[in-house]
Amino acid sequence: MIRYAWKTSRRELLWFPLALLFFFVVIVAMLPHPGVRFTITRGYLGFFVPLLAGITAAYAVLDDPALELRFATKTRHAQTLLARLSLLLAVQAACAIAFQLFVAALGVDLSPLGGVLDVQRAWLVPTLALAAAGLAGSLASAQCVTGAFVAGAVWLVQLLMKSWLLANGPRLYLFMGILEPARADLRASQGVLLAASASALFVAWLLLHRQERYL
Amino acid sequence: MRGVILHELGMSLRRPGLWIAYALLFVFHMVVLFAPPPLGEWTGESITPALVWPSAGRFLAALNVFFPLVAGILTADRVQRDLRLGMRELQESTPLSPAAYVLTKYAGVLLSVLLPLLVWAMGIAVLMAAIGHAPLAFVPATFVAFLAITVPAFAFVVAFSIACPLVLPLPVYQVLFTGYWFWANFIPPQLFPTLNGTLVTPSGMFVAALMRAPTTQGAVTATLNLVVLAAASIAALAVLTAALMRRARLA
Amino acid sequence: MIEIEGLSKAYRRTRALSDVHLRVGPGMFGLLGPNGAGKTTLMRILAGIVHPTHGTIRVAGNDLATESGKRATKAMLGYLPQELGMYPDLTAAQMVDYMAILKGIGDAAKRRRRVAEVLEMVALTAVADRRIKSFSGGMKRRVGIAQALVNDPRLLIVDEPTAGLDPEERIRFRNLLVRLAGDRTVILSTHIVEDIGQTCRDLAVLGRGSVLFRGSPAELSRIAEGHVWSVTRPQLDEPEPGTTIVSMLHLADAVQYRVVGAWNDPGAGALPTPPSLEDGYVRLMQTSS
Repeated sequence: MIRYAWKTSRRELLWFPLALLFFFVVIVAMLPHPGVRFTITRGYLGFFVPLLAGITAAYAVLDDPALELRFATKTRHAQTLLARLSLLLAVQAACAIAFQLFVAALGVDLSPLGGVLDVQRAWLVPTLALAAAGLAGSLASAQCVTGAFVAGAVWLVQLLMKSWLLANGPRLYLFMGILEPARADLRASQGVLLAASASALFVAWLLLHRQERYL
Repeated sequence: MRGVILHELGMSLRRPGLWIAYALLFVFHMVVLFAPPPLGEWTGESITPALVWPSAGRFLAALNVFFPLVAGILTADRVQRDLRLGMRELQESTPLSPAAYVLTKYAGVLLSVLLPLLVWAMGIAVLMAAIGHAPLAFVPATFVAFLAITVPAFAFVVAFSIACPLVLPLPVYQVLFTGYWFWANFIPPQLFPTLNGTLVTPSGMFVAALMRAPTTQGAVTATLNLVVLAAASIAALAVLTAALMRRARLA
Repeated sequence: MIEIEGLSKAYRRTRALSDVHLRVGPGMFGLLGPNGAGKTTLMRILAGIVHPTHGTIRVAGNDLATESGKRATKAMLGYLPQELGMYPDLTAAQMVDYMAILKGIGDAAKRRRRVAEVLEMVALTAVADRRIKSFSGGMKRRVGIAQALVNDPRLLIVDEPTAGLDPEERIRFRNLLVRLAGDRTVILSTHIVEDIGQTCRDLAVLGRGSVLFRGSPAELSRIAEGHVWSVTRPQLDEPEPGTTIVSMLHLADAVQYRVVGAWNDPGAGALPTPPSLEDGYVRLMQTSS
């Protein structure tokens, strides 16, 4: 089943994250200044991995040529969501971890972001949140591009309106772990975001029951 | 050609995704504009006659922060869709040349993303004038600013958004575009190499700066910026046309 | 096997199905009707993909209104949709294997055997390891029927299966479906009358969401009795309203027409003709409009 989850997914699910990883590896390798390397690492892990997950998640379920056949089988909707999302997130996780190993080998110090687990939470929480947003957005609108827009818009708003978000809803700030790792409410924020992601995925699961919308 | 443009416009406007995207952004914009701090930016201070043009420029430049995302992401599938649905084969069997197809597609799609925003911007301007927050002159100034700031940005974005997915998978383009939009418009050049502040910036910053403080140098820079954006858009459309012609020849 | 009571389906502005009552037993069952009659909507409701607005539907005792009933039905279902989408990069064997997994055939050895069997049934063994993107339309349809059969379904629903197939493919397809019927219920939904006539003893005709006819092909043909003429003329003026020219054949110096309908004055030389199934269908459409 895993083999088919792979083969029946879009090709760019694999090569694009790898290409992006390679690009950032080259950038980091070319720029020797430790401060710059740290900034780029933070940018890749905290911004680009989640963006990629969010937009590709919008295509994960609906962009399926055999969708009608799938709906006519007894496969549970939760299974479909799990299979599609797991693969996507696994690829992102592999790239994120591979990048961290690479920069660690170059001597980049990520301790300003916290311990090892703190660094993983810093990229994983926004990745899950944007993936859930993209997926729910596409199922709510029955259009992949709208889901992609939702993920992209959330990403851009979060990136550009940091002060506004920290003033009006800090616990919904996706990039706290990456940009404000010392904040006291970081854990609470990550908890809220995980709960929001779970809610969005639950909504996605509910929406998937209305199969006829997607045919 | 007019009929084809209207059809393209109609098809694009009929997409629920377009309206959902705009609705989300309009609500967000409304909150930012009219809610008092810290939620929004409403201070109650009226726009004086002397500040009509700078305010119009700032208003439309602010719309250029997020709204081009609608154009960049949602228009990216318009040409690809024709290829995927097999429509291109039918279109090629008609007298409509590839160049005309690209132009009509571009015009229709561009209008579809500009019109809702025009209505919104003018609506806000009229509302501001109606509640006495701005003089009446703010309304035509907003329209001019729309033409000078918003239209070039959208024209640039839509040209690349309909062209690039011919060679890139759609989600890849959408990720790259979103990243590009942030990198090319909002990263300070002192922090990181970026197109921000160069003549290729589509954010409308030069025209907005000209409206804030008209100078000859500013006018030259703003004009060059618009010319460069127009040239880049034309180049993107030309490449798209050539690619479609090549595709038809090789089929 | 299938009991449908008062089934209706309404979309925002259209009523796709209106108070449909049907009982279908084992064997081949044909569903005829013009485009937009509601055939595909009915097929999708039976496949558990679309929810009805009103009415009840039971398949082998399973109530499709409940999730458990739907899942139980899907477990015994083979479905070939009208618009068949498949993964172009998978081979035929992989596509069928994948669908077998989705249908709950967990045992890999059993699945392999079953995939080989169904590909043999549809004569695709030789190309089992070729990618679907290289297949012709007919071959893709055969992969479609293979995936529908892989779980040995008790209920097989095929929606417009012969659309786009050449005559040989169509004949092969029809014969395969008839071989598969027996203990199974095979519902063949199509607007190609000949396919129904060649395979089904029992059929229904849908029109504008309602059942216009239920019976055998012979009974449907009989509806047109006394209303079919063969006429040979240099030129036939438009027949009366309520009649239809169902075929025209150019001869050396005249045209032979077949006309169906309530033709009050067919004129000299018009020969009453025994009705075919198609004539019966046309006559039914005339009387129901």
